Amino acid sequence: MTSDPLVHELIEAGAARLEETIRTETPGLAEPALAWIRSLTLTNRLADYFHHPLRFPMLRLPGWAVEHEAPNHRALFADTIYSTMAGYYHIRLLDDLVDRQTGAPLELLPLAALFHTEFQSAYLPHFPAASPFWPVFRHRWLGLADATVARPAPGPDQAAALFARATATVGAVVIPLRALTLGMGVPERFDQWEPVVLELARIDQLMDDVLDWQPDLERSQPNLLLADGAERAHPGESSAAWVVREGYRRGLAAVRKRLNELTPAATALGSAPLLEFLAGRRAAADALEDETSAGLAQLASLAVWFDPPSA
Amino acid sequence: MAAPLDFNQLVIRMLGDVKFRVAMVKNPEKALRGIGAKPTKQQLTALKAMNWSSIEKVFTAFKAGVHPATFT
Repeated sequence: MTSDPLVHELIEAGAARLEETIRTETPGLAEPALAWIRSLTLTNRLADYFHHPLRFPMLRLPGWAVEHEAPNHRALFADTIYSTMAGYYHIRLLDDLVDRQTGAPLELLPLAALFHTEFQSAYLPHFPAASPFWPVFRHRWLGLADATVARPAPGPDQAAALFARATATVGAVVIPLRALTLGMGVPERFDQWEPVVLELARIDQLMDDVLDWQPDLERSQPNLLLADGAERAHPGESSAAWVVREGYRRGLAAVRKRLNELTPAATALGSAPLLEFLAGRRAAADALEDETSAGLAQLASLAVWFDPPSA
Repeated sequence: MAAPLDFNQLVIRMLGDVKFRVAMVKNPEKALRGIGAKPTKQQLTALKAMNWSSIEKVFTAFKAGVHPATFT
């Protein structure tokens, strides 16, 4: 459940609107499209995907920058949330299809047209063609499309390339941030919030990769934690052995370090929900370390018998 | 033919297959032979000395990361 009742209400409304648009505009695709969307949640409800407290707050975060103005600009806020939902599914669809091993079937590819149209057209009533909103939209959206296919090769530059990819993909959340700050008459807040939002995107990718290292290892997908391991593991040591020996702890420590470094800038923004979010992420990292430290030590002692590092 | 098993394969298998994990707790040698792996004597000794409840917590935490409703 989202903490802000207005955001919660608008997520519910946006989910219903998107579902209705899919049924009405693309009836031939509706059944597999909605089945794919629902497969992304445990509850089979489209909206629940966006309510989850541990997900990156792509719908809530832009609203924190205009917390006091938002109730007076309900139509723009609703359209922004709807647009971001459609944009998310567009990215997710392409990502799943590029990945080819999970998620959406290829027959859903034409649905990208619907998601893209809804993502962009939701802003048309609010921003004329000459608005400074559109250059940000164009730059971020096309940068994201380019980053979707980026698969940085292993090597010393892989981590930097993966962070750049995260900035381009998760960082596309600056599009709704630009829409809300500009449309609600506080454009200066975009410049204040953008660097914080982009760093949050990088931290989220790091946390995601710390948690997703095993499926990424299994499918040979680029991963920030595994990229660190490739540089730091002992000769002959397997990725899993490095993760249980020191990698998992290092990954969580890196998440906490970046969160701590971000805190002064976040504090300066004066947003209570943002600070609560940072504290929640820090607590999640702490809890993961507490829960796993004893077992990781056990696994590390086991690892030496399976692939002992060469001298 | 039984083959050696590296640690990557072991962890991925244990994470993705609950039945295999339960079998490992009961009888590691039988569980590993069941997937075509041939453990060494030292590996079996190390496996039998494991505190499986703490390891189960690790796999629960790892699994939380791959659940589509939480972090994907």
